[in-house]
Amino acid sequence: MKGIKSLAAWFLLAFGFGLAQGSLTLYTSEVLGDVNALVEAFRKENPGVEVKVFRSGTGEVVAKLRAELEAGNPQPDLIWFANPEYFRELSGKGLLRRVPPTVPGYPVQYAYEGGRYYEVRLLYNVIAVNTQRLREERPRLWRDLARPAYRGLLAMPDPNFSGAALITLGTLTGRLGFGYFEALRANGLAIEQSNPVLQQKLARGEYALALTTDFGVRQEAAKGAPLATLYPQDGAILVPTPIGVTSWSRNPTLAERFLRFLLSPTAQALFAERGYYPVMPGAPRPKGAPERVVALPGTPADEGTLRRFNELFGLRR
Amino acid sequence: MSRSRLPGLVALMALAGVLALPLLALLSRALGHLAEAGEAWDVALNSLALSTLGTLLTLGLGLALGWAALLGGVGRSLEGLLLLGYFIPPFVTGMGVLFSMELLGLRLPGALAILLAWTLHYTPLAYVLLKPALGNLLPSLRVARVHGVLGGKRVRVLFPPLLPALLAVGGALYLALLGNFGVPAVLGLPDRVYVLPTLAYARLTSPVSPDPLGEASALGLLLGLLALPALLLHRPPQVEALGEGFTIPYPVSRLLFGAYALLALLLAGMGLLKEALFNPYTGSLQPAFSEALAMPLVRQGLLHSFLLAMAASLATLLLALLLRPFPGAFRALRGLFDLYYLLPGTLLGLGLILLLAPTPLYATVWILLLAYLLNFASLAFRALEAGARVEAQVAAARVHGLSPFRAWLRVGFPLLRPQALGGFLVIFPLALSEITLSALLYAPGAETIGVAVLGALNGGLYREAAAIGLLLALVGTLPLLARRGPW
Repeated sequence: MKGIKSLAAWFLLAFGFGLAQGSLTLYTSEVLGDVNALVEAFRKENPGVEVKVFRSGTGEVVAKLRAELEAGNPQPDLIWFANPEYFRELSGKGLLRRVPPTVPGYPVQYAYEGGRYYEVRLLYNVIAVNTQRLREERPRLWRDLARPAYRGLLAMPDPNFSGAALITLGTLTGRLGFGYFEALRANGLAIEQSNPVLQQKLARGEYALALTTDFGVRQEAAKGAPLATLYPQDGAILVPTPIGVTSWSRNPTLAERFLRFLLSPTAQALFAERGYYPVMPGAPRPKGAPERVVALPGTPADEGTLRRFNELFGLRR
Repeated sequence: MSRSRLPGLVALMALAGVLALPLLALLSRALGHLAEAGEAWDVALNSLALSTLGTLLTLGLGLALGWAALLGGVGRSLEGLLLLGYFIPPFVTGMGVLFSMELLGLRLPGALAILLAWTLHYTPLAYVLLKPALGNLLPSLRVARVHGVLGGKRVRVLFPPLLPALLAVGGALYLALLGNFGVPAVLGLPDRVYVLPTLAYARLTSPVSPDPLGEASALGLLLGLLALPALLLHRPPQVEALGEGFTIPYPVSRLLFGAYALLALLLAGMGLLKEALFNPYTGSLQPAFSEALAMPLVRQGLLHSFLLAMAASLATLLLALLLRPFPGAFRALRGLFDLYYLLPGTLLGLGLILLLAPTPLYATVWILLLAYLLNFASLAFRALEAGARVEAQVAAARVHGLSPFRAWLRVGFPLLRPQALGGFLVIFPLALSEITLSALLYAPGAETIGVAVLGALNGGLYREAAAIGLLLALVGTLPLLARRGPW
């Protein structure tokens, strides 16, 4: 009997959380390890608060949110992913809650539309290199990747899944034309699903070069992987990954507190520790990253470009 | 039909109707999207080809192993070694193949890797299911020898009696492979090799699809169509007393049997162990277990999966126990639940979404519990079906003046305790590492451990995923403790 009672208690404990006071739901494309660390740090400062996280590639997160909005039952209090266009769309429909940018020292150009959504740290798409696998001279420009010397050594993530990759596709198509990707395809560019998976495979020598996010490469390098980031001279691609509080949030004050926490010295230091560039001026810099970055503003690819890309590489979806 | 049985029949029909609702919902939603399903013909073909090939491979290997076991007089411990492979959850085997290939410096294309993982996981099942039929073969072999039928000619004598068993077991394996989501999710998705269950899952989360659920339902319907022929072939597995082995065992056969079992286990386990224990870059010993268990997603997943697996196994066994005294109802319900066990889980998952999306059950653990109950009930019923002598004992108790109720309570149920325990040890690990249904039905805050491992793997946390995979494999070996039970 006692066993049954304690089992029932377990059930209440496990399933009652949804009803508990102070619960937040976050939909994000932030890398799992990083979002865990941030949530842990937030909970340490706000004991008793439950943070539920749905994490996947930007593509899946947006799909889930779209479906929920259509069904009239959207869940997240906070959204945070690499699709600035979708943020603009939501903001235009009045679905994002304005949070006044009153944190002292915060660079206001990163508070979009007067504080409807925010940049809390910066990340760039760069060329990552496996230093053991690449014997040839390292590339300096994006265009260099089309050189025959790198044939069969290249990979990038799937833009259907990864928001950052969609921005690589859009930005480089804008700068170099879609012919750039046709040249890369001819040079044997492989498509992996996501940045983290691609970086694992790069670190293990399946590829020598990748068009991928900088912070993840630094994280693996810190664990001992033979990886380095190359910031192309014609500009690393700044990937906007805004975060915003939703208008339908049932707990907007708590959501706002989470957003402001991300700008606090604790969280900003955590970002730097995990290889991102913190957005606040006084925060530490990520280890092994260049002091100054020549940045290209990132723009996601439009439907037409994505469709061409999918046809070129035979991608489904 | 007597009048008194009519209400029972009506109740049963009504129950069948309710239970079939998820499938009906799927069917009605899919009908509007048949064109999209048609566009996925290449994936359907892929599913069909991979499942068929996998079935032939596992069937052949299972047959060879069964033969080797008979000739070599393989004992319980060696057999246990082979069965270990089946008790490692399929998606964990998938991860094992992924990491073992990397360790060996091989790069298998997605489809081959899927076939390899399926073979490693399902060959022991083929072996167990084929063994009874093989046992009965030995006397025929002896007769053949007496009559001078030797060498290759023996096939003509031995094959025909085996054929029904091969068909039935092949059908069961085909259904298992066709519906398997975990292995192609781990080994196929990153390579964009799709089968119908993984494509349905991808469609559900597609950012460009105008009606994800409708398209996924159409794929589900396609999956159901591919399952149909095998479903018609299906017969409950034969579990009969084994014929005796050879009086003088051939040690070479035993050696071969042991070598295969060891090799299979190594292929699945070696990569996982290396990944979970050693830093892949420096090679130093650095177990990833504590990091993995510190992840909130993993903790929550473990808690949810533990509770769900407990609840699902206990509730289904209780239901089966309560119905055990009524053989008619028991058999009828078992038939219904069998459908949900045999049909690919994707159909049940999608059907439940369609049926329950507008209700508050959706996006909670309760929808998962419901799915688990429907999916695993068949196993509980199968476990308790065994033990025919219980009826006789209950009848004896009745003769001694006990009421039917008390006879079951005092004599019948206690006698079924070993079967119930065996059922628990089979259902609990399966439910704990369930992934097909939970990948479709989970919600933030209601994740299962399978979903957490898949998330870790897709998030590049290979080492954490491997560590949890190993823990799940360990729990999975529980049923080995109950070998005398339902096998």
